[in-house]
Amino acid sequence: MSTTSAPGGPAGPGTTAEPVLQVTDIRKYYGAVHAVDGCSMAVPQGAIVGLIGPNGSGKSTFIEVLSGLVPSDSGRILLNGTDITRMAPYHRARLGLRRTFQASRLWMHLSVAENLLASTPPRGRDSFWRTYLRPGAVGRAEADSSVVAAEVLERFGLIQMRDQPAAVLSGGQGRLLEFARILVSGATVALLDEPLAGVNPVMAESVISGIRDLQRSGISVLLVEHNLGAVEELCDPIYGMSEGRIAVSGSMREITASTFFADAYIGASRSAGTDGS
Amino acid sequence: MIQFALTSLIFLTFQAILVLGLNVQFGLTGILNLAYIVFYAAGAYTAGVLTGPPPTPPGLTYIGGWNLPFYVGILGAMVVAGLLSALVGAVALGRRLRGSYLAITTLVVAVVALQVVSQAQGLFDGSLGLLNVPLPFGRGLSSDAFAYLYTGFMIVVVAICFAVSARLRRAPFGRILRVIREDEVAASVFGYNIFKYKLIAFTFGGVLAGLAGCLTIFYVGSFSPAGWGVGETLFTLTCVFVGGAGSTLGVVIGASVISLVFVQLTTLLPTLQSDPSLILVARGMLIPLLLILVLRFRPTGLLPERLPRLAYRPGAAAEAVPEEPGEDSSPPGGQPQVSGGQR
Amino acid sequence: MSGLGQAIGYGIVTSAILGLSAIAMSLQFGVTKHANLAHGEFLTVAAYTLVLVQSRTGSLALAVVCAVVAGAAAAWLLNRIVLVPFRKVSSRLAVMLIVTFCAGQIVQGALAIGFGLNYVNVTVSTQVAHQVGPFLWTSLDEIIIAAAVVIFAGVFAVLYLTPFGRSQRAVADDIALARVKGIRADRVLWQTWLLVGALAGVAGVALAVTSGTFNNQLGFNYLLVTFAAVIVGGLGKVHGALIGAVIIGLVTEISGYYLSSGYKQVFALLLLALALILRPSGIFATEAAETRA
Repeated sequence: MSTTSAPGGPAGPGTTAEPVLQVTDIRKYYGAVHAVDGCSMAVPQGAIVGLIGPNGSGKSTFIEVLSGLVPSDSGRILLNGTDITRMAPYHRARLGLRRTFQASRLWMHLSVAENLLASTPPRGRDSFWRTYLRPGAVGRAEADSSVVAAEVLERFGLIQMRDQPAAVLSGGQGRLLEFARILVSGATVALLDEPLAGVNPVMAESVISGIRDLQRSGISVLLVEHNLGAVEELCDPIYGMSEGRIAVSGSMREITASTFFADAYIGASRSAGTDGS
Repeated sequence: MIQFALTSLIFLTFQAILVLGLNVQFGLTGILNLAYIVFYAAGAYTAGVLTGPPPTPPGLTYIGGWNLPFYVGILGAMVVAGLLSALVGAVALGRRLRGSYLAITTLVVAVVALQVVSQAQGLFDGSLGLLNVPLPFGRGLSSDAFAYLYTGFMIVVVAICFAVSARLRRAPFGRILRVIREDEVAASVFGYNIFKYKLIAFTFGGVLAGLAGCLTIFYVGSFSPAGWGVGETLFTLTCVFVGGAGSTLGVVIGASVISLVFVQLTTLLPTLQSDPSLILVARGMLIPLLLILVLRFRPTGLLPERLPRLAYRPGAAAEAVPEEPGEDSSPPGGQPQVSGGQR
Repeated sequence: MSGLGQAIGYGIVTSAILGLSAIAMSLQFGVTKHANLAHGEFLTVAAYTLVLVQSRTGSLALAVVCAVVAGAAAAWLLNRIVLVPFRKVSSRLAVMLIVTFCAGQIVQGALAIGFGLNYVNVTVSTQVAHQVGPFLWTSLDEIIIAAAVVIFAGVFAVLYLTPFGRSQRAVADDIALARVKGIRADRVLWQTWLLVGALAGVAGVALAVTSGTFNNQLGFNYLLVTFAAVIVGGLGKVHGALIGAVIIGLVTEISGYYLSSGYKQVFALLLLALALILRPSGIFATEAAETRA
């Protein structure tokens, strides 16, 4: 079941399972500016939920709040039933939440493979003492991670660059590496913040299929995007955000028919090759 | 002549241990600790007051003076330096103290520590410092024999510190530190408690600094505030960059190169200038100048950090991938290990 | 009580000088977004220039002018010779911090080579303190306070009433956006550095004449208390720096009066420590500033 806070018709695939991410009435004010002004939404298990809206609508702040980098002023966030509202970002991540950023935040001076190895579940490899007292166990866990990393790199077509610094990747390849990191991490929910921004149309196809890969692996996705074609292709349901609030939700057809869309996207192109300005 | 060579070598080993510690803090984790030398001093003073004779006021006043064996001094130095690092780290690395704030905080610690120790006469004898710290290995040795013995001892110690540091760097733990250095926000949203890792790295570095300090005071027999100003931290930082920040072998090479060059410089300069205190000033200018030049023209250093190679057998995972000629592949039949060519 | 009144009086003088240094640092941090660990050297250079010119020409007034110009020049040179090349090559914060620190150490060494390591004396006509209400000030103190107040007013006038000031604040807010709006950010930067150096130069002169004697550590010793004022008031906020300077100046003098004058600097640093632990962005913090720092 999904919740909407505004008119817009039926929402979501109507699953009866508990949503993996349940957001209730999140508010974030910066003085007089109501960046997020009472947003609620739910991400059903296995869904790709879209979040669209003009610049300045508060989408980015919303993602910052969900991932824990910015504390909310009020509201509640439930991740797989657990209340994470006051948790630090790393704690939320440990419970299965992952995110990407508008500009790729890869670990640039580490190799592509190392970026993945640092993303796989630690299984004790991250302990200082075990590094010295249990080198064998650490080595075995590392070996297992290497196999997983290699598999995923092959799947995303990045295997050739596995030992190169991540800095050499193009924009689109960087996005794929970000998805690969999420894939190997054992995440349950991924917040993707405009993954198609700055990606050329050829790479965009790979990025879109990468998002589908995440879904196929059982990860539920909240996709923030300006590229309405991609959103239409991938997402169900879709939320439209404006001035800090969820103005509308439903299918793309319902949204484009709404006043929200007319106000926010007058003149915006809907073709898959253009990212919104 | 031989004495001079051995002494130079021994001082090189002190700097090598120092640089290994700072490499973990800054080279791997990205923590700019302008107070690094304070932990070196903590180790030296601790070892000095543990192993030294009781103080003789009013000339020589300090706490402690229990004539304990030198291995107690070493242990005590590392423990005290470690605890002090953990304390400073807990305050400086927590919350949102990043970037400029962290540098300022550590600078404050460096300056305040120096002032307090210099002025508190009863603590470590103020600006004159500790004297008469006994040599380890008993007293029966001639100065030549002691020099040889200590050199051998220091080489062993450096080798151990090197092995421990290299292991940390190559292990998954070291990769986590580097991840935090590269982008700690991304690290936190990927599940890493960056405060915890920074604190561990900070303490590790502090322990090494303390070890270097105690071994210094054992060899020289004395220790005073003149030996640990911010300039000394800058010296070690320069060694890190010249050698190759992040690379365990690189920073040791950097320490060797810089130490040797500056030992030679000190012997050359007296013939050029008559005022010995200005020689110190000249040295104090050359190091920061060198650091600026290195950062500008060769920031990766003499031996830049090398990336490890992923153990990968093409075709093992998916048949669709064609066999690549010349690819690094682990021997068949064995468990795939991450081959680390990283020093 | 007269002792407390005197302490407050000294506190006002201290705050005036500290305010100059702190406002300078705040202006600089606002546009560069990184601390300048060589800030103290602007004061030291000005102080030595003061002594040099005065000893050559005998004119204190000329020496003061030259000192302020020297401070501005030092700041401009730091930006031009050191920071500009590095900004092009690396934006890494640690590098900028290290590089400014190195520059400061080099200047300290150069001054020692040029003027020797010994303390240098400033010749000022003997000062007699007189009662001004509850405060005990010399005419030098009064000149410093008056000059400081005028300068503070001038700085705020420049910041809020002139085109340069508007550009400076725009660049401090968001340099990319400022460039988009057509502001020549690089020009604003070096002009800001000139102003920063000049303000720091005045502080250096004031420090030199009030202490009467100094060495090449003059500015470096003042660096931390300047940080204290700026951080307590809020890094990057110019009015915050002034408030921080007043707080630090008054608190240190008053606590020095009640407890022990030897611990004045300790109190300043204690305030700094508290500010760093409790509220790193200072009194006038915004959350945006916190996540950015």
